[in-house]
Amino acid sequence: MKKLQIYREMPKNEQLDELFAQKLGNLERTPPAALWAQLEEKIAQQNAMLTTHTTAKKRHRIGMVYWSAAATFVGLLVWIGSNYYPQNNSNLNYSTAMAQKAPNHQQDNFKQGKINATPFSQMPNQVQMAQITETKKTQNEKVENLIEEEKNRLNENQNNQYITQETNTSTKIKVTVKINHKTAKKENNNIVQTTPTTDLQDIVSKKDKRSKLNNTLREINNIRLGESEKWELSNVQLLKK
Amino acid sequence: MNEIQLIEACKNQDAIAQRKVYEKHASKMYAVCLRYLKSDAEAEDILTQGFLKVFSKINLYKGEGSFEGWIRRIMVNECLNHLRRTRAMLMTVSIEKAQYYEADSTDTLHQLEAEALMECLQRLPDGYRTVFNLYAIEGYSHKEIAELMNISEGTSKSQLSRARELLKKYIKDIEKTSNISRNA
Repeated sequence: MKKLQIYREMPKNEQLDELFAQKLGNLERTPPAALWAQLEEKIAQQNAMLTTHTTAKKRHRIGMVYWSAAATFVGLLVWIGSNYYPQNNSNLNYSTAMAQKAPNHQQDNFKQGKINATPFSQMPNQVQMAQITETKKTQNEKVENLIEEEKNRLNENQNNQYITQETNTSTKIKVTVKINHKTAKKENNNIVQTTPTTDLQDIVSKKDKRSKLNNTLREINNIRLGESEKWELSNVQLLKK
Repeated sequence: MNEIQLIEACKNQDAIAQRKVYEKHASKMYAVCLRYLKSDAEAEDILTQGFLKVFSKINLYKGEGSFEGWIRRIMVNECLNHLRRTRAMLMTVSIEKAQYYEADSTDTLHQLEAEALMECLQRLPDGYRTVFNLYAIEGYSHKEIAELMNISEGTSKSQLSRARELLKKYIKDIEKTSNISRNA
């Protein structure tokens, strides 16, 4: 049974508070001995969590720095490539294998040391790709040039033929006209009164009708041989009339 | 090693210093926890959690006020948090019950030994006990108690008066039993 000290008088509220504060304010109770061990374990766990958290943070920071540096480097490479690669593209290195396959003037350059003798397999991928594209380009250009030349040759032949045809036509027409004129003149000189010559004489003598004749002659120049023949026939018929 | 050196060592996570701090203050803080919580198991849990917080937040201790007072405040807060978490109906005591307790408030009070007083205190409902502990023993004002427990000042005052009356009743009960044992 607990010891009790009994107060006979009725204490006030403040006295009650004071009593509890005095007795219980500085009260000590020994906790179980195992409690420190538990606390120690919990402290160790907390420290481990803190260290893992801090290391994770550090790793994250290092990773961020690494990736940002890598991104900057790649960006720099791209920039350099985009700015300087087209300029250096003309000075591509040719491999020995390509040099052997290359045309004679390129082989001469290769022998003279103007072109580097770096093996194709040892070259960087970018350079290899550039070389392949370059060879494709040159091949395409050659084919295109050949086609162009062939076209030009064919056009020239056609033009020549056409010109010859035209010239033939014009000469023939001129000849016929001259003949007609001559015949007209001869007929005039001889004072042979024939209807076609008089018609022609009338046409030739009048200046305004001369220009018409010239126009018709120009048109005739553009007409093919068959048509000019028709014209000759019609002209002959006209002369006959 | 004095207290300042111990605190500095604890700031550097020195296990020996931590143990010394624990050994120095554990018994007092355990008693504080027991005043707020009914069972020993709860008090042990809260004591462990409170010391964990002490060692993790020791860098925040600026040397203003006693170190023991700082640890005690942490323990009291931990006890209050625990009560808040575990006992949702902390402040609910029926009016009839409160009036019944007040009817016995005219009896004489006896000065009891600490253990008997602790028993009386632990018999109080959680809300009464917490307000009485904070006001009578820790020295908090009603305003501070209201802020800590998220209640109004009037509630704090009424809880305190009801706690006092109940304590008087418990003491009277103890007196009666002691008289019976003496007569026997």
